[in-house]
Amino acid sequence: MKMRSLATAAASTALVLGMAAPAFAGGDTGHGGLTLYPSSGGPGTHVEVKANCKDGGHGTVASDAFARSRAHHGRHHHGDRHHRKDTFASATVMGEGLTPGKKYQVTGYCRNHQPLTGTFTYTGGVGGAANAGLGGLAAEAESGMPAAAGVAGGLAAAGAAGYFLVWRRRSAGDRA
Amino acid sequence: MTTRQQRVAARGRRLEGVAAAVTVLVAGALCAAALPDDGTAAQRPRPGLTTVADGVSRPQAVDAGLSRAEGRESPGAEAASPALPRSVPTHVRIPQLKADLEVFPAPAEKDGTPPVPAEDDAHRVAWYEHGPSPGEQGPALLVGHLDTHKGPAAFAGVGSLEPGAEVRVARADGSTVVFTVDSVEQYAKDRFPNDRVYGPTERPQLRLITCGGSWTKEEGYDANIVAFASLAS
Repeated sequence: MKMRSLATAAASTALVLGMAAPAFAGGDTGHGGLTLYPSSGGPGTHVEVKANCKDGGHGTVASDAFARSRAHHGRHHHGDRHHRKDTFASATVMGEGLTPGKKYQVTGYCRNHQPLTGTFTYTGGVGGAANAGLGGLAAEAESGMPAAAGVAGGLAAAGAAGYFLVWRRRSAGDRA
Repeated sequence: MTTRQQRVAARGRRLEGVAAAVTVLVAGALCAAALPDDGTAAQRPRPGLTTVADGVSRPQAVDAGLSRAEGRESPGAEAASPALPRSVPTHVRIPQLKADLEVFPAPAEKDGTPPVPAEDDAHRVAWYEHGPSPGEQGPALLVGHLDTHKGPAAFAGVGSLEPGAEVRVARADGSTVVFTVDSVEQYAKDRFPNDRVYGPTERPQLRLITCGGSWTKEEGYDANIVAFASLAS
């Protein structure tokens, strides 16, 4: 809830400031400067935001629909490995309290203070991926890798041993 | 001066040497192939378990069943497979996996993601109770664990379900609803296609959802495996 009020406050501030700036057409196609992927979704949806800023860069966005959002710097912390380089910010849709079907404004700023807008449509229902695994199979697969390598190593050892046996038998035969 | 026999023996030994070297090289190549190399389709770990098996993804089969424009349904869709009244699912049987699993109703997780059974309940399957029930129009969601800390759980093997595989859902009203798998797909968790998986459909459909992809101690699995199924006509 605290996160939400923060996001709301940030959004309101951005809105008020945005009024003074030249108007931008809203929308999720980047007309307002922000492109959201996906541009609609249910609770918990992870949204990636791209911004049409002259000098590129990264920044934060704010919206009543987002529980939290964060800027994307060159360095990927928090273990995010799948974000594209040109991602401006990412956000997570509120888990509760939103109205299905409603379009929520998303705002942000370029580094040169140029205001950015976009829209996110809340679809309701469930959203986002399920956390339905604890890792036993992956751990097993990981320990399976050395096993496979072991089999291959065994093959090599068997080949060498076989060659040695044949060589010894022949040396013995040569002597006989 | 060497005899012919000695020359033949020497050549034989040289050949054996080459053969032994080849054996070692081949074994070395096997090691390399066994090493994990994420991102490449050819060397995916555990196809059918932690990743989708080859040949079971048929995205077009799913596209056909998704509602296109709002309120517009293709003619005959309803006649082909009339939706059933709502009834809570109690069991799901998946013959291909030799699985017969108990199903329980559950609300969404606090963060809005679909319900997931508790760790110590990994042999059961959660049904999202605020969505369609299996047999009603729309996508009914069943979520099961891929694995526990120790080994396979309820939905291990969902990634190997072949197109046409049967999924039989028993419901509280005594009916059994039969679905057939259209496609099994895998999505990175942070690029999850909500509309495709949870969005409206023209016919009664079923989604079997579990985890997959790469696993790390810190982040868990980085993908979801989703089996899309339609009401058998």
